[in-house]
Amino acid sequence: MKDLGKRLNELASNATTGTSLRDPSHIAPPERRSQRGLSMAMALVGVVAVAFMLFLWQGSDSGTTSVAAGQVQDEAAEFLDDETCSGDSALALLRAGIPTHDYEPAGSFDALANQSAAVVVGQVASIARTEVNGRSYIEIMVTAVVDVPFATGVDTPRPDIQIIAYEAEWADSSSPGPLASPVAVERLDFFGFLSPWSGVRDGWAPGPEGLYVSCNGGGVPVLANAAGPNDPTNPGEWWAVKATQQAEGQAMADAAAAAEAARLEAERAAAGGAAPPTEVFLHTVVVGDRLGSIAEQYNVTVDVIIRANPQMDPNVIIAGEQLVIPGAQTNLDLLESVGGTGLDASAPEPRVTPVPLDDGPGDPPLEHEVVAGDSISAIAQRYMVTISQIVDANGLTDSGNALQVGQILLIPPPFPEVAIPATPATPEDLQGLQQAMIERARERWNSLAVDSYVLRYAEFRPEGPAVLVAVTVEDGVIAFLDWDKPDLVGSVYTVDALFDLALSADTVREFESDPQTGYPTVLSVDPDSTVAGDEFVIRSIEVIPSPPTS
Amino acid sequence: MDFSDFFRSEADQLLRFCWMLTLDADEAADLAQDVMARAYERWDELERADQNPAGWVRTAAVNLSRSRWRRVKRFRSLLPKLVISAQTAVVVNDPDLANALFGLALRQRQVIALRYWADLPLADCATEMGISLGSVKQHLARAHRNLAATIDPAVLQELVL
Repeated sequence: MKDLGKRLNELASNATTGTSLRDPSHIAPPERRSQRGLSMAMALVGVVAVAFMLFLWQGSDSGTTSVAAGQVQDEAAEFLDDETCSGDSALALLRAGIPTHDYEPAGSFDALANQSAAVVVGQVASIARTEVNGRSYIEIMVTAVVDVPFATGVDTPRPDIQIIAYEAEWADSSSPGPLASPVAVERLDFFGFLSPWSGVRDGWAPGPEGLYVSCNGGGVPVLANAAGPNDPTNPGEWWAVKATQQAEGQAMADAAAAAEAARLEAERAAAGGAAPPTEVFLHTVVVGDRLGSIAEQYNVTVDVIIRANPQMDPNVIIAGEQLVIPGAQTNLDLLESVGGTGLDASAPEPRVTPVPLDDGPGDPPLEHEVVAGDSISAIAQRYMVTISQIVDANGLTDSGNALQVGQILLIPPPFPEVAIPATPATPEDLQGLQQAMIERARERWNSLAVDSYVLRYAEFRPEGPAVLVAVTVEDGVIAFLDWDKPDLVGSVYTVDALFDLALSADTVREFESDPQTGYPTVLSVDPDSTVAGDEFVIRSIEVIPSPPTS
Repeated sequence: MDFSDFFRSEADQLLRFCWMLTLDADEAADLAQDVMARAYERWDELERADQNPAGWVRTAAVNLSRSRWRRVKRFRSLLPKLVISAQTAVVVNDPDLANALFGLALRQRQVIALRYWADLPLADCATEMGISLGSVKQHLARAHRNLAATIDPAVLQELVL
């Protein structure tokens, strides 16, 4: 081995001191060898504290349930050798080493459900404790998981939920504890309020007070009231009440919708006019947006937005993503009120861009009446189009210094040259989508005359693996570097070059705009892609907008 | 050789290799554990005389690390941006080299680990990484250049000779 190899070995050995692997042949029951997630390794990336409580849940089934001791060895066998579900034994298993840190209760089952990505029921197959790098975890293998069917009444299988895991803390990790070996469990139901947890491969973590188990049958005590004083005492009851309410509410909503439709039709008939032209609007997601707030902003329901954007993951909306918002009139009013006839510096920036439903060449563009103080760049920014688009659409011969107050400018739809497939289906589509996003961002940055930005890096240093290092770029030139790489000072990074770098990256992770100004603020690219001759890695870019011209 | 023997002889080596790929002890443990679980699933095949299980687990680690790396990054992006927690600090004995590795792209770290740590000929590096010999040389040349940004080129020259 060469000297570099020796140094690498010493470094890696030092860095992994205290870390050890578990022999899968010792921890995996042979019949489950092929199951994913069987490996008990878990790694926490970042600092995640999953606070939770466990309660017994008195399920609705009747009959006898037992916690049996399959695959049981040593202490676990002793622990469960009664082969009956006393409730206490299951709970003791699941609570073994329950975290002691503070947690914030959800407050109610409704709140718990809102915080969770999935509300499911299923069966517990096995319970295991693992320990990785001094941290203890409870890992519950579950089967037959279905979504709790509020609205449909139909069980929807969730084969993706196979592991529920949470961090546990043994008071004395040197003692074997009740789960020193995995314990197979039979006929134990659970009710879970869960969210995906990246700390465990394919794992799901319960929310606070979010996991209930039930031995079924009479006499199993519910150990505590549920999350809120006004809630039913167990999630099964809450579920039943909720389903009833849902059914009643749906019936009422249907009736109200029918009445509203009839009223609108009558108004339309009375006015003698045709139905108003149908338009949709594109909302660009900004930091802090939630589906609920967007729906409220446009006076539509969340469901309407979800239905209109089949490509969107309703659980994760990404800054920079564009959402189709059906509901033309409300949005037209909004747009006109903030940008139609006068520029008020204190008015909120429009976060909505009208796009004709049929984006054909015959569609009329918007009009903007120039007022005192307007500039092409300000107008372009307001309508989220480029300067060149406005110049082209209006036959202007320069950058717009000769604008006249009262002049009507045509505002074309934004970035018509970028066709974004509704549902990316192949890697090529995704690549195209990313390229379109970057091209669009490039257009926007140029139109906003952004010429300065800050690059941030992470660097490995003795005191820690990642130290924030900032580089200030002014007028496309690195001007200040808080980092001992003087050879980079003076390197030219224009906005165009920046986006060329982004295009060379495998993945653009984030693109965000400032909600107040609309300026792009963060562009993060995949950190394992290197740029600029592999000299460093872009972590994110903070834009310093050019000072406004008065 | 049964799997347990293989595990005993290779687990630490695999863990170190995975650390060179991930530069994160927890992530390395997760990756290595995943690889070992996969090796165990197909041990019947890997224990045959014509197989090289140690090479197989390294290749599996290389292949898995890319997708895992991205997933980890996605998760990390949920953390407050650019706030690096002191709790993730790791004390290392060779900060210069660690810093140099951190500045390498994933492929470059892979090739450095295979060439100098596993001491493989270039052709074997290409086989394990699933790329051509020319690509291996290219990655290695870039890795050298980037290492030289942190490590004195003269020192580096001695290290790799």
